[in-house]
Amino acid sequence: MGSPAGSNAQDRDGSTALAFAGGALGASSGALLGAMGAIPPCWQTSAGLQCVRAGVGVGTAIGLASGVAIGAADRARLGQVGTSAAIGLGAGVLAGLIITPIAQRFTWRDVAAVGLMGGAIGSAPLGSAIGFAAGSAAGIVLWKTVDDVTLPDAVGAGIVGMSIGALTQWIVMAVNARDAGTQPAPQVVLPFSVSF
Amino acid sequence: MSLRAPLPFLPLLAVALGACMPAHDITAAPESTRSCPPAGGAVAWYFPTHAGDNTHLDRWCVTVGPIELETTPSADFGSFGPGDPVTVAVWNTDAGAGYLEAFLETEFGFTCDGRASMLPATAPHVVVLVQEALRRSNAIPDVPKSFVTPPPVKEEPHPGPRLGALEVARRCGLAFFYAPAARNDHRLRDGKREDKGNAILSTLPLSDPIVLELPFEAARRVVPMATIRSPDGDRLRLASVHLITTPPPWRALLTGGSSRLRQARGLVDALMLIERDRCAGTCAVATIIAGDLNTWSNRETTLRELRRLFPDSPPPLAEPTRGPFPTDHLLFRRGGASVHLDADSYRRLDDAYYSDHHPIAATLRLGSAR
Repeated sequence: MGSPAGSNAQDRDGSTALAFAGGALGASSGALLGAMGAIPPCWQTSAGLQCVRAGVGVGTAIGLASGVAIGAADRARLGQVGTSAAIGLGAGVLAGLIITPIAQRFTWRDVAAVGLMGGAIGSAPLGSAIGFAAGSAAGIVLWKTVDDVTLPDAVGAGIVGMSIGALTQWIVMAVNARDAGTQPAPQVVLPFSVSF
Repeated sequence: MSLRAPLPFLPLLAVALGACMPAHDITAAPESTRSCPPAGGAVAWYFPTHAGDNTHLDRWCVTVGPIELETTPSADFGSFGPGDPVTVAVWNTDAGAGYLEAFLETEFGFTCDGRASMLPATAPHVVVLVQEALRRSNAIPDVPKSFVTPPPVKEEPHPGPRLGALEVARRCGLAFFYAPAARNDHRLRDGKREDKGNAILSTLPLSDPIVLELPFEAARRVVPMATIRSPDGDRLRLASVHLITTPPPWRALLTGGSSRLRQARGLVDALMLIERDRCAGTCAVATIIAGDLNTWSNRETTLRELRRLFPDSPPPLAEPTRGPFPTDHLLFRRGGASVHLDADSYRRLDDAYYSDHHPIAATLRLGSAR
């Protein structure tokens, strides 16, 4: 007996409701990723808040467009992203709860904020991880070799890398979802049989 | 499918995340809801206009003790003639951690002996702008633990007694102006309650005392300001500033990380208002704003903006003042006065005297030498 291990045709069916859900998840995650990625570098420039706003806008737009595309084309992929974001949210809330007794002036709203940031990172964990590693590595190299680059710059580079990586993963997921929606569903046949 | 459905999220998110910095405007008239600080007295107060700020500030304000002001040094530190130098030092003492008395004795040659305190004969007068100044006093109200009483600043012990900034000022015969911002724990320590804030200590008389409450960003911050004068009447206003460190995550996301810029703009707004109130905007008093600005780099937006408004500032120091961070700065605007800052004298002091911040210092001259 054959069993589909990948997406089947029904899983790939999107809908307006799913596009809406995908857009909401993407826009929320993208806005948060944009904010996280923009705040460290932007406040090192004269543009400051305007620069942060631009970062949030770009992140929101990428997340929204990607989320809508995923929701419209691939129910299963949207489910995976949602699950992953939920895990990130939970991990973030847990981290926030652990921090609360240690940090000053940390309230339930800050726990929620850390949770939301965890959710945004969790929505694209692979891109976040690769981006963070690449950004940190670049930041450390620059910190060690360029006089004007400071340790905070190196840390900021890691966070910027994480945001760029996560947003890139959103774009890749959207492209993959669209491609999957225009091609026959892959049928993977597992080579085993069941006998009675 | 329709792409229109998610669009309403876009402006909502854009506004909610990073798009809004609350107003930073300042006024001399407190909101009617404020129960503190008490009205009247010799000190002029300035407050944020934003209602949300005032709600928070009032909750913090009721837990601290009164302003303390001694306009004249109790010791005689010698004459101050036109063109004579005055050293302005700036230091976050990390509450009781910084060894303030040793700092004064070592860096400036003070002999601290109450009214008999003295400086070496050739030494310039000294003004010290202190942040995280500690006060130990039972004039600080006894409030329930449920009130806003932050935990004590972590301190490494230093040699000698653990004294508050005003105790040191009295021991060293200095004029002083202290504005408390917050409690340093709700419990007694060595039988006394404690609060912390900013202070100005001086071998020269202090006049025109002003306190500004900065826009509220996670904690109450106050800026004491006072003026020193040359015999010719040239004035130098000094403001001891401590901007917020890192706002909590919710606040950072909500304001796009604009907390320090908002407080800096509040400070600038207050200085403009002060000049308008005192001489209808026709005077531009030479002004130093200095302190722990909590900047991560010398390129930070807040510092760029302040430096633009204080164009006579010395170049930023190359050396960090707290760990790897250049947090502490001295910014200067000559205005119309004959006040000169010797840019070459601007320096970081290598000994941190048990604080987590290095002091910084610069030399100025008020008036022209005859």
